[in-house]
Amino acid sequence: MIGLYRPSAVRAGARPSMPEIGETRVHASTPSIELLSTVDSGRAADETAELLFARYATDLPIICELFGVEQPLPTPVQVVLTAMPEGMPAAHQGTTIWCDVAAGAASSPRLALYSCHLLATQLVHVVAASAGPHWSARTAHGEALSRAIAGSLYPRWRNAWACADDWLSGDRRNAVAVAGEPNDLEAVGCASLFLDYLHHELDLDWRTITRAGGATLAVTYRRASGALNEPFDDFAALLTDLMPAGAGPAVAEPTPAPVAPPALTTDAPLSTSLSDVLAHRRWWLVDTPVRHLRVEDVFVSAVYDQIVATFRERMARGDFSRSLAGYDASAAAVTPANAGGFGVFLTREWHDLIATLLGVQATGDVIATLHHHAPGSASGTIHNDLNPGWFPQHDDDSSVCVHDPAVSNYRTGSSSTGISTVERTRGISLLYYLDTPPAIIGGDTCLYRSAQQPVDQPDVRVPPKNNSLVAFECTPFSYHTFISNLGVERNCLVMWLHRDRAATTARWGNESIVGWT
Amino acid sequence: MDVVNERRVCLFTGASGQLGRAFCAAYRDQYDIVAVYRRERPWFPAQDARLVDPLDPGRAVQENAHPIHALRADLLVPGEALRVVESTLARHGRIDLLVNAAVSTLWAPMLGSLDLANSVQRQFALAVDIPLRLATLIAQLHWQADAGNNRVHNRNVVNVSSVAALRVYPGSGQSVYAASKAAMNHLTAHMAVEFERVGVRVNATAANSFPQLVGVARAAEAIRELDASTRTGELLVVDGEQNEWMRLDEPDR
Repeated sequence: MIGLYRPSAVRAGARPSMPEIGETRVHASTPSIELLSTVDSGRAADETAELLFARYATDLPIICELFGVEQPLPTPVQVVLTAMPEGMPAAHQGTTIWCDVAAGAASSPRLALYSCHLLATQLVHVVAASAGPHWSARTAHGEALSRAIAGSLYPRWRNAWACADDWLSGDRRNAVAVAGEPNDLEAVGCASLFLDYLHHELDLDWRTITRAGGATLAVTYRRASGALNEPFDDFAALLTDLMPAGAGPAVAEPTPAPVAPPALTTDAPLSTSLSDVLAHRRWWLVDTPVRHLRVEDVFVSAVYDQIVATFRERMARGDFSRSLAGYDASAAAVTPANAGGFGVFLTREWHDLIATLLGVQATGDVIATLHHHAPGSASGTIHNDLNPGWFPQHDDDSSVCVHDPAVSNYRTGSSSTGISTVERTRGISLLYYLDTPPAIIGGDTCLYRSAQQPVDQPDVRVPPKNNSLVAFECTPFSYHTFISNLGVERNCLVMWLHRDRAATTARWGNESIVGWT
Repeated sequence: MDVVNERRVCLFTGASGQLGRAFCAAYRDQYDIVAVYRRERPWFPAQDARLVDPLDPGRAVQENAHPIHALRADLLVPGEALRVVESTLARHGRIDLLVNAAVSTLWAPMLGSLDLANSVQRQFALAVDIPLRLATLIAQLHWQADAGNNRVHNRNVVNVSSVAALRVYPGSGQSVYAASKAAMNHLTAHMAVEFERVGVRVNATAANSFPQLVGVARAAEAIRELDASTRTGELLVVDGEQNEWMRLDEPDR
């Protein structure tokens, strides 16, 4: 049995052993997996099992593909959800995996993702064993790789087992040219940092790294990069530049807890690079009644927390005003000067991602507004958002042009500063929901096939679930509206990407554009 | 025709419920599932929905294998049951398994609740009317003309009942719900007798509360077990340690 130990437990010299497994019940049994839970793990295990079964089906192919291992695995995987001992939330022996259950999963199914993350760490070991000896769970680099891959699948938990500081605060010995032990925190910390170095600094993807696995990380480096040198000196020098000895912890450690998921680190500066801030890489693209994106848990929680903090600051400052005719909400513009946590929405990377996914040739011009619906706000009327919008001339493809009401008028293009403006039409509508109490009734964004449908009989209802989004192409047929919210407020960011007016006219005719009244 | 290796065509109502989602998750690689839902679609890759990797949108996403066919319909609206059956037959040319899992549930005390009486029509409609309507429409449009193949393909109906039809849980407010499921059981018994003539089996499954008392995957597996069996006129009770088979035509059961 090989366990995933909390760094704090290892440091304390406490390496718990597997508890005796009590009576179990079967949640799923297929040719590739048998999913069990111990009866004493209770309802939390029931809540976890369904999600874990689904995530297993999606995670295993990804992990197998990374290692070049064919499915099905030669031996079925048996997963046991149980209350693991403090300090060891997961373990495996052969193809049997034991995973901890977050006690809170009984009331908050999202916490079930904690077990999914744990399962991913152990699945990496199981698949790696099928691939060969090089990423053995009995090595520090095998242990580091399991954490890295599981962390990329579940970014929320990627710092959960961080032990980089054990290496950074030690004598920074070379654990790249030699294979360390999995319970040697300095060796695992070094291996984790070196894998990040390969991935982020040398730009090697995880598939390349994984398939180049060797007896040591130095061998892996040479196989993956084609270089011939010993990499440790360059790696250590970079780390010395970035994090000189004695500079303090680089990665905060989670608070040890027996069954609760580890806390996230929130004190580090937040990146706006999408690969760092997106919580996962599986978004829904739906074609009916209008092509739209649906995403839950868009950003990692540290980013979401900053978004909410910015929103609340602006509410407290009284930035919102009721200036939207025919729309029962108050609003506040988002610009680069006041974006704060919303900065990620104003990046070119975000703009291009949304435009690419929806297949819209967008111009780089965006307008973003925060909307606040007080409890009991009236439903809207069905409309399509195919409206014009004016922006300053902007020829830089590497950034976005964010509309600023202090500079020009979005509806007319007039500008008190005399700058030259150009007319666009809305190409994509995007709504991102935030800071809305879960007790809300209604407040949905509804999509329709026809403008003649009753407002309360939409084809699709998108509930205002925090940290989720819906985005759709603006066409003459992108019928949608807001449905009244009862009980509590509803808050969101609304942003539009734009396309050339000429492109809209060529596709649907000039008369399709809905002018401002 | 390679019956053994052929993917079976399953028409599943109430597909966005827990049981429907569990069935789709576990068995969409084995069945061509037409998943009928009323409001919220079951979130599986479908003919009009797929998962994309936002950071690498051109890359094939493996989870999109084995899409379901999601079909939005309010079965209580006249004509919708026929549309569902016609759409399924138009798409697949046959139906091997009909799962009647759509349900309307109101648990409330008899004394003090006017809503309970008002819910009777809807609860019974989804327990009796719609299962009967769908099965007879499929029979009329497909099974009656294909009786020989029905046996070859082991075609059948699974009605999703409840242990509430067998027991009284004091204080649960399940009176109308339980009565509707008891009616569904008796409908199943009669349907099994009448559909035997065209070679179609009819059974029901009754799981205890899932996921609280019975794993939802186990409840979904019971449907798979009924589909794979040769039994008819029986109720598969999913409760306790082991599933239990009951004959529905034995009055002293």
